Amino acid sequence: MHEYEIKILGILKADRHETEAGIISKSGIGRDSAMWALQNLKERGMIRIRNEKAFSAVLTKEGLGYIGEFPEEKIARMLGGGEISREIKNAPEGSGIGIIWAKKNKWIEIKGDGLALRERPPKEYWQRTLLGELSRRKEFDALFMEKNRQGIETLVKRKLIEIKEKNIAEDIEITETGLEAAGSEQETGNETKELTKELISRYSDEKGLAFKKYDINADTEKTYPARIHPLSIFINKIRRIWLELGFKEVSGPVVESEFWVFDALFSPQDHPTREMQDTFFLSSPREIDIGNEELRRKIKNMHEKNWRGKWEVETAKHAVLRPHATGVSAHYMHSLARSPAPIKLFTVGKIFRNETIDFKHLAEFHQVDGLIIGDNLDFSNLIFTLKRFYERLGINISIKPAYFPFVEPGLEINYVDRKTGESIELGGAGIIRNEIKNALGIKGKEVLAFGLGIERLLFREMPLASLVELYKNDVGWLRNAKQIKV
Amino acid sequence: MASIIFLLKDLEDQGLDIGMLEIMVPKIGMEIERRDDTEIAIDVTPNRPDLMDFTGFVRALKALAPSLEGEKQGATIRKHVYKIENEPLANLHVNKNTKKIRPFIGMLIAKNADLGGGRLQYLLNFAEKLSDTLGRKRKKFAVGVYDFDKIKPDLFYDATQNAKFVPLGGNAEMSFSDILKRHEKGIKYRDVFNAAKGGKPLFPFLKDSEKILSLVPVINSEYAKVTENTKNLLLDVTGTSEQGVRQAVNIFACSFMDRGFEVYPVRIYSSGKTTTTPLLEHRQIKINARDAGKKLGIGIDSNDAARLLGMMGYSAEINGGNIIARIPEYRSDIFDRQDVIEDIAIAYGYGNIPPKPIQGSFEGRADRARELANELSGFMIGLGFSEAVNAYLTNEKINFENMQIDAGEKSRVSILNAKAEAVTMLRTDLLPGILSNLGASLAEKMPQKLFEIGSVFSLETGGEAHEQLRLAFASEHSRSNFAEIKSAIDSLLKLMDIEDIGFKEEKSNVFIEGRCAAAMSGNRKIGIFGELHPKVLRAFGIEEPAVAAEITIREKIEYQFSI
Repeated sequence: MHEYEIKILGILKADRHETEAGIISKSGIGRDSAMWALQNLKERGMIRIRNEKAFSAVLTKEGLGYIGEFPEEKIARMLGGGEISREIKNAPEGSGIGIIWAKKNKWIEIKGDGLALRERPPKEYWQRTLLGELSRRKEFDALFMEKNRQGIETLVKRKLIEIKEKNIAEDIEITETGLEAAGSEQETGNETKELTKELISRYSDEKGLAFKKYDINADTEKTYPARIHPLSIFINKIRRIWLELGFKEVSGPVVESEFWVFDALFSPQDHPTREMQDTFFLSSPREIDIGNEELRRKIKNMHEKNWRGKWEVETAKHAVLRPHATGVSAHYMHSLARSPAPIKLFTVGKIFRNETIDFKHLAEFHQVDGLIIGDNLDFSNLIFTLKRFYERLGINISIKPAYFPFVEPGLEINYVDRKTGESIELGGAGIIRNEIKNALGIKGKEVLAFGLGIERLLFREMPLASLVELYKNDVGWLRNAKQIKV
Repeated sequence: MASIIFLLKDLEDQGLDIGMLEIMVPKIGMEIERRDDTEIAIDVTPNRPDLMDFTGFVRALKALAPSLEGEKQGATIRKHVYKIENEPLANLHVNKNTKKIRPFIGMLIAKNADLGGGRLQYLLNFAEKLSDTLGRKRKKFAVGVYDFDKIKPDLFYDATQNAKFVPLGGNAEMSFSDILKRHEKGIKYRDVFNAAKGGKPLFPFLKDSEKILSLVPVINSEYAKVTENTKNLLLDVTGTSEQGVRQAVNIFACSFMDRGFEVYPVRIYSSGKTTTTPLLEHRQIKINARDAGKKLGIGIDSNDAARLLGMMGYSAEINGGNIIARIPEYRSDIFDRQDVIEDIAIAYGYGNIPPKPIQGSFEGRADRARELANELSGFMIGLGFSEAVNAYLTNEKINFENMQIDAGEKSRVSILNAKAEAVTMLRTDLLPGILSNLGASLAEKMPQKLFEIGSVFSLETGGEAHEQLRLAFASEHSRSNFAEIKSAIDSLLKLMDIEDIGFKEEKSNVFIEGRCAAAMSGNRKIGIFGELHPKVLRAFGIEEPAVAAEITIREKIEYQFSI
């Protein structure tokens, strides 16, 4: 038995009951260690623990702003006082949420385009009372939680508070088994408990030593080794495969101009994916300079000749968070246009999609993007390369035609998930369009390119409720996450 | 991607059952988005708007069907060409008022139309989808249809400040300005007009010799409404893109001819010039079968290539070693030879192309920054810290406020248009992420130790984005203290072989005063560490004492694009 466990049993032997705080103060053991020892004793049936849940509420910035007056109270007050006009469209900015709740509370009603006060809000508006109560209390118990559950849930939903929960050992009681163990621990007599440096130096065969036998089935303290994050392990696994296939690893910026992620890749300036809907545009920096005058002219010509619309350099300068990593490939096609072929390159990096974020959806992902430049390359080479990569990951892919503005022919990679039977899209690839090669200065060579998603593959490697779990870095999750096979 | 819905029953009537669709739709490069017992939704990529049309979809799949029998068998060489030989059936007069706001217009008339049995709905859906996607929400171009029998030619395309008509589905006259203010379609599309400079705005409209047919491209009038019983159709496309307008008219012309309607042109008088539409382009591209095969890695001869082209709707003529490929008149996505070669590959079947290894020897080489990060991760694991990977995207609350930093003066990369409120900027430091992680792991056993290596972003004085590589770590438990973090950072810097390591007292809102230090390499500050201030701990919801450090690994990441 561990010394902490013996110590705790010793404390409990006298009064048989103690609280968590009592154990900690009497034993002088730190809280973490005490909790560990208590857990062990409980698992061996030596003590009983009556747990109480304790809660605390943290007010969000919005919540803090509501303590004095809720927006629905404000709307009702202002309507009552005639401070605001009754037309909805003239309501002060940000009063939308107030109107919704005031209506829900039946304080106001909406008649045509106007607002009208039905009744004045009560002096003690329950939401404000509860919010105030929660901000004053450091901690509250399960009873309070149960009594106010509906109200608290409303406040959580309105994002005014966040609730945190923890377990507190309210009462710890020693059992008969515990009492017995406490006794025997002190009756070990002449047996050696721990080997010491001194005992080793005095040891002789004649005298020997009587070692106390341990219960080898007794639980031990859990060890949590420091670990590398599953996503890093997996990215390194993917990098290793491309390196072994003879690809050189490169990198590029995530803060990019539209020029490199769209224009250089033959995406017309009025293309829907370039609209605000899907791409993160930046307010600082707003624009990124496109240095090379000659290149800019060539890309402009490429667009105006083929898409026939007007090409605006102002649009091309807009700063964005790259929506794919193919911009890196565009940079390298340009910088290596005259370098001796063949060349194989890949990059692994962050990409961004302007999505609504929730418990299941993220706005950033990783992508591996690659490029093969050579004299005698063809579509079948590309198919071979992709198949080989996925084979190494144990995935049997299928390919189908697909449209991406910068490749021709283009293909899409899919695999069928064995468990769900679902067809999952893994990425796209193709032969870079001649127009792009010409504009970037590549002569007489073919360029094969691919862009592959990473996160989706992770679901095959480890159990994962959603991608959001990956970025939470919950310590418990990191400690217990299934190790990815390298 | 645009999603278009067809009834399975209608496809079956055309010889396309569900088994066939499941094979053919991916084969042609589209996707089945979903299906149930009665209907199927197809995701159509923007390069093939012709497939959003029921007739076009059936035409394409039936042509490709022989490819199922094997890559070289099946279809004969196709010779069909879409031609309109009828004389114009109406005149359209374009007023120069339209020049600055929506200058281009094309029309056609289809006689002996049969719009019963759901065909009208398909036509309207397609017109709507086409205007929405390729037409860029009606801005680039939009399609309208009218019952030609109710119209009294000639036709006029003009623009005015205001006028009145009964909008589709309505029973009373409304003025243009009322429609744009109140009508559902008016509100939806009022932003499509190019604002004319100076003066009051003009709105384009179409009329016959008596009445207004539509407020272009917002809504038609009730007067020439198309019904399932309509026998003769007028179709117009107006827009700001000449090419877009022409292509849209042509797609409909081909579709109507395939349906067996008789297509008649319209004569257009504009700025003293006379033209007729549709103007079908009979484009040809010369292809060499061997070159095409070489690009794809397959062996095909001229006969194979010509037949494969036929399966994609091309007519072809073999001319010595070359093939003259006639591009289907409804296709607008064929720029040159490479696009034709892709169509050969689609007909051949991607799955039939044998994968072939690349010749030559290649040396892989890892990115040095990435390898450095891996090495540092090894050091941190040795020190007992687990790795965290946090998002680059964050917000001022987490990144600054929680750290007790005044956000106002701090330079940062800011997002203009995020859909999610929680996302406003790129992180400027790593610690806020790690501290958020600790705050969310209260229930776990202590000590909790995390590290992260990654990029952070700020702005340079010139306003350009500045990317740095950083390493941060934190340790939370009841007995964490300054000595622990100093010891960790000291051994880490030694492992990193940093020259002339030293420590200097430092002040920061993040740490407790007097328990915070800068890590130095000579005179250069490379990091900061100490005991986290209770304000910071509370802001992140961390309950136990914690210590933390953040050091700069690369002062500035610059991309050279060289190998």
